Amino acid sequence: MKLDHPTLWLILPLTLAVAPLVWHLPFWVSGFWVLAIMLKLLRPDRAWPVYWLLPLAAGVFLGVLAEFRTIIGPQAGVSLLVAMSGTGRSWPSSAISC
Amino acid sequence: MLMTHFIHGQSLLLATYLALVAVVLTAAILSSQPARPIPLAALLRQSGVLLFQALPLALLLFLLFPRLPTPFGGLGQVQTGRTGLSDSMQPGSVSELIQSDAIAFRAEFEGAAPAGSDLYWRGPVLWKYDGRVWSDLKIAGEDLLEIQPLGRPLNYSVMLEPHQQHWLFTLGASSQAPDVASDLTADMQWLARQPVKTRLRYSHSAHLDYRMDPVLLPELEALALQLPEGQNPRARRLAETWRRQAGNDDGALIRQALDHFRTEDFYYTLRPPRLDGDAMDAFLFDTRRGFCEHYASAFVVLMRMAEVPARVVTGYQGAELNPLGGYWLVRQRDAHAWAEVWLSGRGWVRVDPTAAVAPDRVERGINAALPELERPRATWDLAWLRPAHQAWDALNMQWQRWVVGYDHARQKALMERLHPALASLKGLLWALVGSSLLVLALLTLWILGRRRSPSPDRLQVLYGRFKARLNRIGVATPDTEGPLDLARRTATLRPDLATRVEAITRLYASLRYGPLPPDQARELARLIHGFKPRR
Repeated sequence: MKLDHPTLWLILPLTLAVAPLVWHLPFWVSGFWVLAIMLKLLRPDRAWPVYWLLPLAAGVFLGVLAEFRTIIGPQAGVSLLVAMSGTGRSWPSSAISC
Repeated sequence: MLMTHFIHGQSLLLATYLALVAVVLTAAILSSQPARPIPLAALLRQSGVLLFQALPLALLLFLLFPRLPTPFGGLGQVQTGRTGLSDSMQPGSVSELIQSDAIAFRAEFEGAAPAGSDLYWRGPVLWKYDGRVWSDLKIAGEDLLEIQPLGRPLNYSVMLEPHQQHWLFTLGASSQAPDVASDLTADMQWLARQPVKTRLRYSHSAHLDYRMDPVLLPELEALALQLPEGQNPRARRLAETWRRQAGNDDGALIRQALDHFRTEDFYYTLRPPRLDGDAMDAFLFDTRRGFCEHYASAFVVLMRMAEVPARVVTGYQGAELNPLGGYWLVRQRDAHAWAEVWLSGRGWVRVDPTAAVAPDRVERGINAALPELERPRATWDLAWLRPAHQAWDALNMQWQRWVVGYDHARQKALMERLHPALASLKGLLWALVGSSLLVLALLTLWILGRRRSPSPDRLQVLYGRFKARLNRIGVATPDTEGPLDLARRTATLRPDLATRVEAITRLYASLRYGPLPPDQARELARLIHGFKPRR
């Protein structure tokens, strides 16, 4: 596993920004996010294909909706934000904007 | 995403952490610039400088961005507080709290603070007793309550930690409401209209000397004498004996009861034995080991058996001064239960039977009263950690007061003080836009100015100073003349200065054109500093 600078500069701030939130989120959202980070660490050069990414993002959206019965409000909104930050194709602007 | 953290907490520690993450995030953005790679330290420094430059604007937005009277979209409502007192009490419920060193609230007094033994922070008042559990009836109707203040009022403010309940802990008695939406019950409890789910600051004015309910309404008297039927026969016989001995003198009866606790073999402990069957009989005659809830409970039961109206009051007793912040800390471990008895002509009077058993509890705090092995320990109990802990808490208190506590009301008050026009939303928005544009314009001018005027050459500055001193004694220094020519001409005009002028010029020429190390510039500065020729 060899990390290039851009990947490191995306994963490091994102991890620092999300880490303290993990304890406040539903278990599956935190788990999903940790898994996404680990995949990115293992294969930093590989971008997720769009035909995976779209169903994944839709699944996350529906998961949050099912969990909170809404996507509005602090808890649901933060969960959606964190989960979606893990689904960035190669985490370009979505991760940086956090 | 960074801002979402503040939904769950707004502590200084979290804010500091997030500021550091913001530095890393900005560095990440800078690192993605296509220019040549920048070393990590330089990136972080550049990021820090950028954020520092944004501080004036951030400060302006903090002060002027309109605050909402209620939290936006329920933000700030997610905080969960630690549990504290509840609206019922049974053996063990207060002693459980004693194990926690969590902060219940912080208090500040205007002027001198009362003595520790006067610090009874009133919370739930318990009337109903089923033989084991005491319950709060929250009797509505402040018109049923009569407070006659005696002595001067005491002004203080409290920063209450979230406890998910309605109680606002107050000292003494007062019919003057704290400055938050709250209602007064007939038994002198101040209840916030909304459960306290976030940190709440309120000011209050109370009287430590007062007369409460000089006339007791029959409905309240009945409640204050209520006892379950047919329980605790031995306690009843004891109370009846005291009543016969005291006659109609309720004061004498109370003194007799307190003497009983003081002289008999009662023991103050966090680990009392289990009470089975008639709980009060078992406690008063068999185990005789208990905590404040045992003593308050037993005392009130005995009073009621002797036909003296009585009730249990729970809350906190005492406080610990933070000398660095000048405020008082009340922790969960200060939770306490005491009694109130109604006496003809005096109204409700506080009686603390725990103080009869363990006077140190009230005088010097919980740890002084408990046996060594039972004392709850916390990290801040370590003497060498205490100053650091106090400093951190004082810092946190200021953070809570000035940053987190800067809400709609405080913003309005500050703006009104600055200019009445700023108190309206329109005025605030104009001020926000105007001052933001001004700050941005100043910042832009500063940045442009820095780009246009590169930092002057230090040697040039020193040499310019030297030339200015020559000018002062009438030696012209045209820019077209080189340093060596100038030195020669000066030596001709002022032979007395020749040696010093030559030394300065030689050193300047060496530094400017020669291989001399740059630290010789300090020597040049010293020579020029000492060069003060007279006409």
